[in-house]
Amino acid sequence: MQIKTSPQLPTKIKTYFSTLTSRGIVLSVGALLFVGVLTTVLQVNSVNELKHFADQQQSIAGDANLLNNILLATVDAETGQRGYLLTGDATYLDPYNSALPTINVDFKKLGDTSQSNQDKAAIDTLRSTVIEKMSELQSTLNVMNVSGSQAAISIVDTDKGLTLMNSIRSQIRAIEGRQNDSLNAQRVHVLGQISAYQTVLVAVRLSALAFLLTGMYLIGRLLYQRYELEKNKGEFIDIVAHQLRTPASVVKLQLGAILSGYMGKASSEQVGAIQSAYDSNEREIQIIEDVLRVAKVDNGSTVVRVKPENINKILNASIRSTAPMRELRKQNLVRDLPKKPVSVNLDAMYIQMVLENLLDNASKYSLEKTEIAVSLEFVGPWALIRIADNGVGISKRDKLKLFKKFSRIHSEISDSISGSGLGLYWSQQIAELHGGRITVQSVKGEGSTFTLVLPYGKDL
Amino acid sequence: MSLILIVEDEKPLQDVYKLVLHTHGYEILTANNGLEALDHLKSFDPELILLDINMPKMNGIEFMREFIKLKSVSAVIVLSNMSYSEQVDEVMKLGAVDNITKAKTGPAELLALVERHAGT
Repeated sequence: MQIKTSPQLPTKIKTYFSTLTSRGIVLSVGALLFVGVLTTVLQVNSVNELKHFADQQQSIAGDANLLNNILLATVDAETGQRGYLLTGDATYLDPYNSALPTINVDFKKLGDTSQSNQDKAAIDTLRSTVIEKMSELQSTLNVMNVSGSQAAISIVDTDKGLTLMNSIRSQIRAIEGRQNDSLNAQRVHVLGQISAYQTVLVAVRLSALAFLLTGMYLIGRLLYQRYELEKNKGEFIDIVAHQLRTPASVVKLQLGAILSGYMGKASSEQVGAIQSAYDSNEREIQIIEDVLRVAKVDNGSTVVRVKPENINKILNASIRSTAPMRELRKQNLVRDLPKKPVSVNLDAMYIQMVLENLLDNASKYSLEKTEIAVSLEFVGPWALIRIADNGVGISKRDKLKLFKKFSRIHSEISDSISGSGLGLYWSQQIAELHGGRITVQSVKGEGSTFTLVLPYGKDL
Repeated sequence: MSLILIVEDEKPLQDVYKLVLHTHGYEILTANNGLEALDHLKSFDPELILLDINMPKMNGIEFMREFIKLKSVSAVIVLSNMSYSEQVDEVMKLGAVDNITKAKTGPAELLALVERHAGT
């Protein structure tokens, strides 16, 4: 024998936990994506800042090199010119002759790379001074060529050349100093930015951690509240059901005793009234029974004990126990069952209750003098017990809510039938506990076929 | 004439059980709880005991645990509010011979059950 219980409280809590976890995972993935995107953006920004700083540093180093080249070329041109003036040897003029093209190329490069307007203006001024210096050198050479070396050297002795050269040096120093100041300011800015990004990153990570811890705390609290709620609900239903059943049982027994004549002979009017009260009480008892059965299956206290049982015997017992209602409604039942006993793994008590429920419904939701058909068929690993009627049928829309709690299908017949609306819900739960299910095929106005599908000859 | 002990704390139920069974010739003893029932068993040897489960002072399960120590020959039938419960299972395992659900039991069902387990 195998025992299977309806989902118990821990299972229900696990299911709830699973739902919470799914939602939590979605939220966490969202939060992680947010943190990831933010982190990436901040890191990309940091790298860009550093790259920009490195580019600028490289550019300034390049400018310094070009300025140095210009200064050296100018100094070499002047030195070469002096050598020529003193010796008259034209080879001394080589540095002078090559200086101007070199200087022009370097100034062009400087113009291309210089960033600020201030730098551009300073470089233009420097270029003018260097050109003036080169013109000064050229003028002296012209004097030498016309008036001789003494006249040229006397020009050199004036401080015009020295003043221009000092001006070139100081301008270069000023440009380099400004560029270095700019670089230092940029360094401070970049370090500040990176520090700010790091602070934001730490804040984001701490926020994510706080989010995670808060989420865990909230999930834990929700689970605990749910656990308490489910536990209290189960206990509450048990107590209410017990308290309702006891007086209903007393009424049933007392009215039954009066109707059976144990308390003297009642008049026919009294018997009619008491019978009516008895029937109402019976309906109330049935509703209490249904509510309790559903409470038990929902609460995890329904235990299904499965063992090989003769399904024919159970079907016949169900047909027998539901016969009075069909007889009252003059309904005929036809059965198409295997002649030989067939063993199916099931809990006889519960499956008989399910079959009785389906047979009761077939009778209740059919007109008088109609036919109800019961058949048993085996398809693959499944035993299919079909209960077909020619009753009111069920619309497609109603089929969707058929197996839900408190679902009542409205029709001319069903509106006059009392019931809790719990029978099919409970029956479906029992079928599922057996590893099977109940299906329905129906056409409104033509009838319904309910099929109890059970695993045949295999363990749960 | 068979003696039946009804152990039931609901007085109206107790009264109707007594009325129905007495009408059919049974001698009746009543107890409101397990303790009173054990007290009766010191003096009487009933053929059948109709035992409720949920009772004050001593419930049906506690009564059965004491009852089996007495090695009495009385047959016990459980009267319960639930057709299938762990409590009913436990009392059945302790030696009860049958059980009925009160909400499904009218005078006729009660009588049929008693006649099945006790002579008149």
